[in-house]
Amino acid sequence: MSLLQRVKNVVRSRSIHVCFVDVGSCNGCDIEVLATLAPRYDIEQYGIYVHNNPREADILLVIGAMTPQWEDKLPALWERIPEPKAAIAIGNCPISGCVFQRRDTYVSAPVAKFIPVAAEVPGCPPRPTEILSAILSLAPTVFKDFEERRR
Amino acid sequence: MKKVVDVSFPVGPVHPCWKEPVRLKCETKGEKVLQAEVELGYMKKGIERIMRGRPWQEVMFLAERICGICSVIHNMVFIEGMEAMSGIPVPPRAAYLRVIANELDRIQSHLLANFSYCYTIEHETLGMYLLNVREKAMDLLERLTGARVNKAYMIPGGVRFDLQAEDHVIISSTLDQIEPDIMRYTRMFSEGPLIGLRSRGIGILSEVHAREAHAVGPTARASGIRTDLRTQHPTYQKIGFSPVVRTEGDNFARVMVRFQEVAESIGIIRRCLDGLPEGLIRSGGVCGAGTITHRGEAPRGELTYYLKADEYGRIVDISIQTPSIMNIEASAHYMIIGATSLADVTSTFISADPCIACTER
Amino acid sequence: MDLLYEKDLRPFKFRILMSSRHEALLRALAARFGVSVPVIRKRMIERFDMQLLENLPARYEAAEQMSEGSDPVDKALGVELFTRVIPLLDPGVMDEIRHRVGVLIKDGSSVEDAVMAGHTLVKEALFR
Ligand code: SF4
Repeated sequence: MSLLQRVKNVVRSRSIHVCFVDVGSCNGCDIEVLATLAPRYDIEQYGIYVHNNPREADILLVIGAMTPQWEDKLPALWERIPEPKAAIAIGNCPISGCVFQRRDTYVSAPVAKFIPVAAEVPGCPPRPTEILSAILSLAPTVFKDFEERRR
Repeated sequence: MKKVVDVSFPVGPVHPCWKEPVRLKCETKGEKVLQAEVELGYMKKGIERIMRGRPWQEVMFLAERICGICSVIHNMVFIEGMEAMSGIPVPPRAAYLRVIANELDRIQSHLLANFSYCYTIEHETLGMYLLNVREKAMDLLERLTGARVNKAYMIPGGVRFDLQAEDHVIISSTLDQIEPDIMRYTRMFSEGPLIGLRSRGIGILSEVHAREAHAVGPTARASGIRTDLRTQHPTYQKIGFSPVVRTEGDNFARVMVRFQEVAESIGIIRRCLDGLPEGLIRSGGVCGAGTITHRGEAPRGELTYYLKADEYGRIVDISIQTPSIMNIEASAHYMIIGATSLADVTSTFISADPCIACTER
Repeated sequence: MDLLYEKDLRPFKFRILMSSRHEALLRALAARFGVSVPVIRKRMIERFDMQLLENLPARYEAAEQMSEGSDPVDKALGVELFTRVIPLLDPGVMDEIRHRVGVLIKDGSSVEDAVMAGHTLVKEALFR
């Protein structure tokens, strides 16, 4: 392993920028993501920074069941995120459409039809601790030795 | 809408200050906002369309998922509407427990709204304090209802879980802990000089405009309109409380109204716990046919359900008017106009506590 | 340049106007002017932004409570209604119509006739 790669590994393990995007949820998962900011869960002690800026993000949290307005915008937003990147689906909505995937609906779940989803956290909504542990356990598998593996 | 100038400054849909996607297009001259336009459609799931033709057992869960922040009140208004339509009585103990759940929900919703405002004006310290207190309120909700966000606590003819004797003690001792904290943060907010500079006299909504856009809830009460549907609710009438009204109509007043309402809610819960009647929490009943317009006071204001059901309890027609519809309109078309800096646009918009999931359903 | 966010919003606006309360409002306005619902819907989609569209029924109800006690001619013409509550008309156009109706009443025609004439003018201005 090259020295550069080792430096990158160390830096990336303690600095994960997160962007969350809501593609038609009920808001329940949004506030659970916000709750991870609270001093009780304190997402920042793990070096995770919730930023909401796609161009700086490493991990994209997708919340919601995919409404028509997002169908072209979510892939475009995914393109803007620099490599290495990963998307996590939070809640039942992006996985299956939850209660909204019925007759007469406007949504078109799952989100995996539009962007590659690396991990899924089911629950309606999942607890903040579950969201936190999903990010923490996904990050090393995506970011560790990213350049060497790609070669 | 008609264009006044050609410079339009878009905010959103993915924005560091927005919790949910909404796009605000401000037409500006220098930094002065002349006109603003809201673009929605990012959250339209068609819940009302899904609800039609389904039995109330399913609609109940859909109704909660209109808004995750104030799910208790959506549940409450829908269930109370069904009860009023089919004449199902509610045992007094269940009615009191409903009020407790609703007020705990109001506390956490208001604290979250004030957190967002503090975060938007970059006062992260106070925001984090508020978020920490909110977790305590969430714990109480979890203890009472068994879940954090979507609870489905109320059912026709009662509630699902009883309050045990130990829960009683835990709720009142936690409230004793929360109250001094809230008082302290309220003082921090009202006396902070920099917060005052960012909040006082900014985003003014006059009473006339508030009435025109039919603003409701804390947004209307901060503009001097005395409206609170809890005064018409029989259980609240028994418990007794007085609505918080301020007259400034600016960002500061809206946030302060929410702080004062949290204190008021703590009082209501205490009185509920003291006077909690003994007895059943579920009495049963059958949902039948009827048409009704039922209203309730959500954390953000007046929530209205127009319901029509057939004799098997299936929802034939439903229309939901959520408070955020009116408040966002008031905020985008009246408060923001004349803002002298674009930094005030986001804070003014957030001060009305917008909930896009409610607005679009 | 490909402007991703500047999309045609008409289908989304149309979906807002499909709820049963909006439908009732549209039907009331259509009956008032004797035109079909799609005509009014089209006017609204052209003129209003999405938040105003969502809020129309609530605004209409609030206006009905507020307008009690205002001038009967104003109320019959919908002066407040069409310039402030449901701003389909520019205030200048409405002022002119109101002025012309006032002149008609002063010239001796009965109030009903004048209001009828004003109503036709409003309709013309709306659906030109
Ligand atoms: S999974 Fe449940 S809580 Fe999360 S956004 Fe969907 S409906 Fe809401």
